[in-house]
Amino acid sequence: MTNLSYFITGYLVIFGLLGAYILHLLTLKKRLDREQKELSRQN
Amino acid sequence: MLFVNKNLKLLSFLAFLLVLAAFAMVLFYAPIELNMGIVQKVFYFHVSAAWIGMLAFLVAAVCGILYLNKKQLKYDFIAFSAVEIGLLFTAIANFSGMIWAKPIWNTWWTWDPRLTTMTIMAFTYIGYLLLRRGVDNPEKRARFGSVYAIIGFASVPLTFFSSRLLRTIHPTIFGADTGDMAMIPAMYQTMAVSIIAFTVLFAALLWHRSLLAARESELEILRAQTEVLEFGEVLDD
Repeated sequence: MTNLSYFITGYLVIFGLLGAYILHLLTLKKRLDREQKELSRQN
Repeated sequence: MLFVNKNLKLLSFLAFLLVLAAFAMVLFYAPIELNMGIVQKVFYFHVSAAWIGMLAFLVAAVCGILYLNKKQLKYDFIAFSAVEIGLLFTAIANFSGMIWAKPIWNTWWTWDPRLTTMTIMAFTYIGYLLLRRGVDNPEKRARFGSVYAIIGFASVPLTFFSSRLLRTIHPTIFGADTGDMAMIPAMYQTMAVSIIAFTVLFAALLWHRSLLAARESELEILRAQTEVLEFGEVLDD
């Protein structure tokens, strides 16, 4: 691997982890919305 | 949508713009370091992520103290969110550091004091998340979590000062008597913008996650009430 490819990999990992966490928050939000709907229907 | 109010929307947008600006500075403004070459540019986001990781654990400890004093669950939600985000940024710092280390130190990993204390710090806070999963009662969980966050914070100064007090190959940037890495003003400016960008991003993520944590808790209570009602109906039948 060249010096440039380590640089590119470094930033891919940084933005990849940030993106994955934001995706996790969006998925969590969707799950909570769904659960809230189900629970309010049950009640 | 994840945005529940205007201020949070604004903060998130500002964070996005700042991260973009910081990355543009890394690419086009910061010069290429003579000895290490372009891979040294990983440094700007690596340092910012490590800094935010430590800030997040400080926020968790402060919220732990506030919870123990005021017994308001909102502080527990913020503390939990800060730890989760702190671990994310610690992971970013660790992985980006490993990628930077490979061409410079010729190894992905070495049991250097800074790297070792940072790993101990990360595992300490993974333990915090595991402990919380094992406690069902929200108040008990908040109390245990608060005490853990306060005691666990001892690992943060240990990590911060490890490269200053012990023999290490890890460069010291802040508060070093002699510069381990020669930096010119353009490098310091890029680093400052990166740290500001990550701080705003941290604030936005913390706000989002705390709101979600509060909703998770509300649903947990609602779920428990529904189960009690269903159980009552079964008994009546």
